[in-house]
Order: sequence, then structure tokens, then C-alpha cells
Amino acid sequence: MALPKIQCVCGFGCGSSLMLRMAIDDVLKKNGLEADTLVGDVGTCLSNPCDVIFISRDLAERIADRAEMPVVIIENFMDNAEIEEKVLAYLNEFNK
Amino acid sequence: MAILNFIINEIFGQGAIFLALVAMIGLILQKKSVSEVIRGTLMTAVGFFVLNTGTGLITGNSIDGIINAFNTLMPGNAGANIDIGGQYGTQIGIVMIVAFAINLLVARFTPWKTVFLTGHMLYWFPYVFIAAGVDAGLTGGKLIGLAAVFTALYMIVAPNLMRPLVKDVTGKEDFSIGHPTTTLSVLAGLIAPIVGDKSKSCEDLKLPKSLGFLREVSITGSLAISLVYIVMYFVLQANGLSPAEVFGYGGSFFSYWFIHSVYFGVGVTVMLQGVRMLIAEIVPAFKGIAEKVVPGAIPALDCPVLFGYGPNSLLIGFIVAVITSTITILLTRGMFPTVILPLIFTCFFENGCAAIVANAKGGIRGTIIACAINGVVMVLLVGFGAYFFNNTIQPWMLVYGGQDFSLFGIIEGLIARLLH
Repeated sequence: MALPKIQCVCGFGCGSSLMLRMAIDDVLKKNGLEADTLVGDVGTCLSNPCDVIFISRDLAERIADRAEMPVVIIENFMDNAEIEEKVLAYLNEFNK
Repeated sequence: MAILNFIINEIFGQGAIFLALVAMIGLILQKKSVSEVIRGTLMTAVGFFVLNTGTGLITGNSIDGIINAFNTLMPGNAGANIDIGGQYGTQIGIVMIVAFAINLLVARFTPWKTVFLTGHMLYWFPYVFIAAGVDAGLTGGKLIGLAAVFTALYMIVAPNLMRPLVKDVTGKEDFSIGHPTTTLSVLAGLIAPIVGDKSKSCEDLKLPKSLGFLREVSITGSLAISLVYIVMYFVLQANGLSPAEVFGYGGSFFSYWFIHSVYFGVGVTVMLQGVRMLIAEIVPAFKGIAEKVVPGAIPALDCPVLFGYGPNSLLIGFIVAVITSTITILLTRGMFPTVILPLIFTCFFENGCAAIVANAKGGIRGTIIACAINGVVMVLLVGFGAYFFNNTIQPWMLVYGGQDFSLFGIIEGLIARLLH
């Protein structure tokens, strides 16, 4: 089965999205799960193939209307509990 | 000896190979699979060239005409423009590692617990500090040593200056900011409480949604460049010069103007992709090492982690700073040995973070006044910076400077000239 592809998005795709990607990688490792994670910037993220986009609330408004994949909003990129909850919820849905 | 020379000059002399090796060690330390190690190592090498191609597109295919026009109008300012990213990749890599190691030691053994983890800034600060040294004529060990000292000092001092400001905004102390916004944010944090009232917050205002497109900075940047080209076209004509000759186009001005404006967005997009590929494997390795070496470390992160705390302040600060910086550019024209372009990125990212700090400490009035002053300061920094970067990365500074890059680069340039 193909691994789910999770794209983490911020304004530049270099700073905060990379922090989010590392946090998601930690969650996956901790729970013994596997997924491909990548980073992107808000301007070009919709042209990167992926199964889901994880993004902050202020940026989500700019892609919500055009996104063909599910968009998961992370309120606080520093809140590991929130990230864990949302990643696990998404993967449960994906594996159904 | 031949083999040793080959290793030193050909392998470590190639920035792409050196940084790919750093990534490879990082991947092995993270115990990744063989295929992941090969993929990540090669991606880093490719990213190095993508990054330099992107910067080359901005300085060579987009803003080059404006710089040419300025140098024709005010001869004697054109520098040699050494390709720092391409020629000094290895030195940048060494500075990155040495400075990060010093940061870890300080965080481990002193009360300054911040660890600098903003990925692209781990590359750009060594880039700027190597350029400042090269511009002053330093070479070899002196060049690397001074750049490493400055990068390390910056990585330690700036996040610790930001900590109290981040606490004012978020009410928490679990992270700090590691980003060239520090000069503008500290300034905003000092000005806003004196002139403003923090009970009247920008976030209580209702702003029209249609202003949102301004946040797409590569688009806003392209628009700004297109306006500057039009202004330059008429300035050249008014001075009796032929725009076709100065800009160097054969056909119509329209296609030249259109392509050069759009290529700004192209260059930014390519450059970001390159940075992303270059740091994707190095930063997780650095983070992994930091977690092992420094218990209780406070990560210093990219400035957009604060953006959610003040979207209105960000937008108000952006508009105010674009206006005051553009006015300053017009008022100071001809005073500095460089053209100065509208500083869209600095107004959005660095000044945006400063605006959020200003709002937390001085409300609407504090935000507007602090950002108005920031707009003036960033133009003066790029202008004075020309004396220290005109032979190296001034075209890059025209797009990304006007904050800590300029200020600390100028300070290093002064010291480097004393050492030389």
C-alpha cells in the first residue's frame, strides 16, 4: 500500500513548515507509523502532489477554496499535543 | 600529496559536495535507511545549485536592468560582484557547523539556553558574514574565523534579545525567534510602549479581506519591480539616455519589462525551492544533536511562528513600512553609492514580526509609529551597507537586506577592514 504523503506548508516552505515536518516525523516514529512528509510554501503548495496539507489558520484561508486534497489546520505549530492528535486523526481516516 | 590536494581542492572546494557530506553524516546519525541516505545526500547537492540558480535569476535576469540604469546615471559605483554562494560554498558550510557547535556549547553550559534552528537562516547568516569578509579583502583562516565568530555571536545574542519580546506577544517562554528581524523588533519594542497604548489593539479592527493578496510576496515583489522599471525608463529618458541601450533590449520595452518583472517571482520561487532542498536534511540533524547535547534547550525559530498572533498588525505594519520606506528611497536618491529597491520582503517578514511586537506593547498607534520608523531605518541600512557589500552581494541585499543582515554585516565589515 502506498504511504500517505503529508505536505507541511508555511509562507516560505523553509522555516516553520520544516519545524512542523520534524514534529510530525516525531509523532509517526513514536506511534510506529509511516508516512512521507515534505515541506512547501503557500504559493506553490497546491501544485505539489500530496494526500493532505497541514497548514496554519491564517494561510489556510488562501488555499481552502482551491485545494483538491484535505487541508488540516494547525492552530499552534509549537503545540506537540495538537499536532499528534491531528496527525493520528488524519491517518485513521486515511487507512479506512 | 596529489590525493590530498584533490580532496582539499576538488571535494571540499565544491560547496555542493561539502554540504551534501554534512547532510549525509546527519542522515547516518539519524539512522536513516540506505536509500534515504542516498536520496537526501543527492537532494542536498542538487539544492545547492538550484539555490544559486535562483539568486542568479533575481540578480541577473530581473533587477539587473535597474542596477545597470543606476550605474549609468551615477558612474563609478559598480562593483565586481563576486559570486559568494557559488565560490564560497565550502567556507559557508564550515562557518555554519562551527557557529552551531559554539551555540550548543554556550546553551549547554550557560543560562542562555536558546539553540538557533531557523533552517534557511543557518545558511544566509554565514553567507552574509563570509561576503562581508570577502568584501573587506579577507581570505583563508581569517575570513572563516571572523565569519564564524560573527555567526556564533549572532546565533546566541539575537534569540536572547527576542525572548522577552516573544513573551510579551505569546505569554509563553517555550520558544524564541531566530531571524534577522531582531534589529527592527527590538526597535519596535522600545518605541511602541512610549508612543502607544496597548489596550487599543490592531487585532480589534475589521480589515477588508481583499487586502489579503498583498501577502503573496513574490507577486507583490514582482509588481514593485515592474513599477521601478517604469520609473527608471522615464528617468533615463529625462537624462537624455536611451532606455533600449542602457537596459540592452533589441525589441520593445514591453516584453523586456514584462519578462524582467515576472522573473523576480521566478527567481524567488526557484531560490526557495533550493533553500528547502539544501536544508531539509541538515536542520533535522542539527535538531537531533541539540536535543541530545542540551537538555532544556529553547529553540529559536522562524519569525512566521508569531504571525498567527497578529494578522492585522502584520498587514498594517506592512502597508505603513512600504509607504515610509518608499518615501525614504525617493528622498535619499543619489546619497548612497547604490540604487535602493522597494524592500517588500523586509517590510513583510522582518517588519511584520516587529509590528506584532509593537502591537503587543503599544497597540495601533505603537504599531503605526514603530513601523513607520522601521521603514526609514531599513532603507538607511541598505544604503550604508553598500559601502560594505558593493563588491560582493549588494544586488542580493537590495532584495533581502535592511535588517540584521545589513546591520551586523556593516559591523563585521568595519572590524574586517581593521584586521586586514
